Amino acid sequence: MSFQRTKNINLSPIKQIELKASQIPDVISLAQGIPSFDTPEVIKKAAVKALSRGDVAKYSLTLGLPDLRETVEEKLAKEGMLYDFQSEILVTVGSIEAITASLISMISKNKDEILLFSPCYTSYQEAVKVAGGKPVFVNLDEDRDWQIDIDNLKKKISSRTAAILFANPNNPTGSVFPKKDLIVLGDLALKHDFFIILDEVYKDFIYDNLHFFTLASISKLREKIIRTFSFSKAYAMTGWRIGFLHSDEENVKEIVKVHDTMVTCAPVISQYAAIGAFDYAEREIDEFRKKFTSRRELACRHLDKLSNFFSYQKPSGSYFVFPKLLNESDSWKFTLDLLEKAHVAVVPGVAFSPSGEGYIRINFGREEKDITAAFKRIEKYLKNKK
Amino acid sequence: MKRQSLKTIVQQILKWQAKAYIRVKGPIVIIVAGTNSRYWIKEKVLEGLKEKGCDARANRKNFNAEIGLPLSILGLESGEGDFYKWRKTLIQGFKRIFQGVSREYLVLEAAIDRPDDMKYLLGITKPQVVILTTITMIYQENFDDLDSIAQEYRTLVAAIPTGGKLILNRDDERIVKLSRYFQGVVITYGFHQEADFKATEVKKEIDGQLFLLNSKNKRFTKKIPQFGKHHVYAELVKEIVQEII
Repeated sequence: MSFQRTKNINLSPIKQIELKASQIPDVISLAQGIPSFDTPEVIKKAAVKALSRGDVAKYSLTLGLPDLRETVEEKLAKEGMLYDFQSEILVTVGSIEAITASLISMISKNKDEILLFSPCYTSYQEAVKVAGGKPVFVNLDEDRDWQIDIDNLKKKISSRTAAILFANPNNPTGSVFPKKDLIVLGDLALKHDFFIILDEVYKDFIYDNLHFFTLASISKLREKIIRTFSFSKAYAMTGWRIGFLHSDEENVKEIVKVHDTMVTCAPVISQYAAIGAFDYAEREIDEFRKKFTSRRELACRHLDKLSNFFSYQKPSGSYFVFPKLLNESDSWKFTLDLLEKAHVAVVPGVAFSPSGEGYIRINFGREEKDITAAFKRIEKYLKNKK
Repeated sequence: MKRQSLKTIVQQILKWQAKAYIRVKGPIVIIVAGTNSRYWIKEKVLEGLKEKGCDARANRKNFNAEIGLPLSILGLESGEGDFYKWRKTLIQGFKRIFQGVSREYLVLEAAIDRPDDMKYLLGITKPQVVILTTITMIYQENFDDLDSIAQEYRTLVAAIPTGGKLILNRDDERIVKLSRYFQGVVITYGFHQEADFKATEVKKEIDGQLFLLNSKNKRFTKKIPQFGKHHVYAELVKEIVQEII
């Protein structure tokens, strides 16, 4: 007896780096994609209230608490997405459960290929493999701020394509995909009959007044779109493990079978916290956005000072910057050496798919003092290395 | 401890102000209650009243009974954790009681499914119109709780004055049974054959829903951009409200 299915599935390199980093005293981590903030008080209050009322001990309905789904419907409607809370919104254990459950429900013997942008979030390819699918990478165009190369994308679509899965804003590049490219992608999904799984967990962190567009607002695409959102990043709730997906009811009807099998329902206390987040924490999100904006400037200023070692595209969204290593080609080797000698944890670009090799991902969502201290160490390390 | 005492004082003052407002201004209070779909119905009722040229306002979502309810009645913002903001709110509260006179409709969405909340609400105001949406499951295996929630709504229904109106979802058996506790005008809505305001021939399209709205006096096709039967209910209730005011 052996574990054939999981033999080729890897633990996330981000978590591997974090584990290594945890063994080093005084390490500064700009690796894992967690914001520096604590969950806002208004959200904690909503959870405490539910807890003290005795409302959290039972399983919720598999789809999630009706109150939360209704709150989600309201929120979506304000953003131009019209979905029925009773049958088209599913509360999940963060975004990754929503993605994995969607993949498991749609991948079949004849439709087993999932298109992934390269570079993309590390767990996507593992989720595809867990679901029994095959990741097919579509390189983004670095020269155009890591945008979609439509011609390249068209070449990768085949009769086996079940879906394309991507984050917008993208992790690790921080690029935001424009409406015109997304519309082309939507048309391709209709023409070739595949799903689009949208991961929009960073959509609240867009800079320079850039317009954010979601394909989930296009009614003719509602049967093709599965949109996921997590409270983790926007509301500093990574530990609460709460998110949701929405799609046409025919799709949700299938995905919920996997969700029910795997988790029964999302944690009920977190569902109450999520209601608090959507109802009361808009001001906090604005504050987070302001802080990330200034931290982005700070990280970019530091990178500018190290222009002999890095080149980079200024991120338009998320809280990541993805600089290219000018004097190194092995990002794992560089990352491990940086961790060992400078006590700074970053993520090797190769973790985000093959075209990420030669880059590193830096999380500027951490405290300003940590960003500055980390860059001082990086500078010293690079200069000593020279 | 000091903070708790201040909170209690604020609650008491707000409660008194809200009661005084109701007594002096005499607004027509419409309460939308049920375990879900309240928000959509409240919004449509408000829209319907405004289309008819009525002076109407509604509460913000998810208020709590002790603070949120009186604030909604008075049309004031919460002072949150700020002492000075609360002082300003309370001063405004006194002014609201005597400022201007108009026949106003007050639409309150109330998640009153606990005895204390209901008591608090009815201690401040008696609604002229109650709209009940539905009583559905929140947790797995909570059927017993649903019957107790229905009991709470029974208290609300019984508090409507005789000249008031009760608007019920005909598709929900627990809700329909509540009509026994009210002697005045009862109007029903839903997909049920016997509903006074009924939706038939509902069709889901790629960009919304199409349905036929039927009542004693009207019959017309309506297209809405939203999905889900709660939006159809909201349209039916809007029609009812526009007809009865």
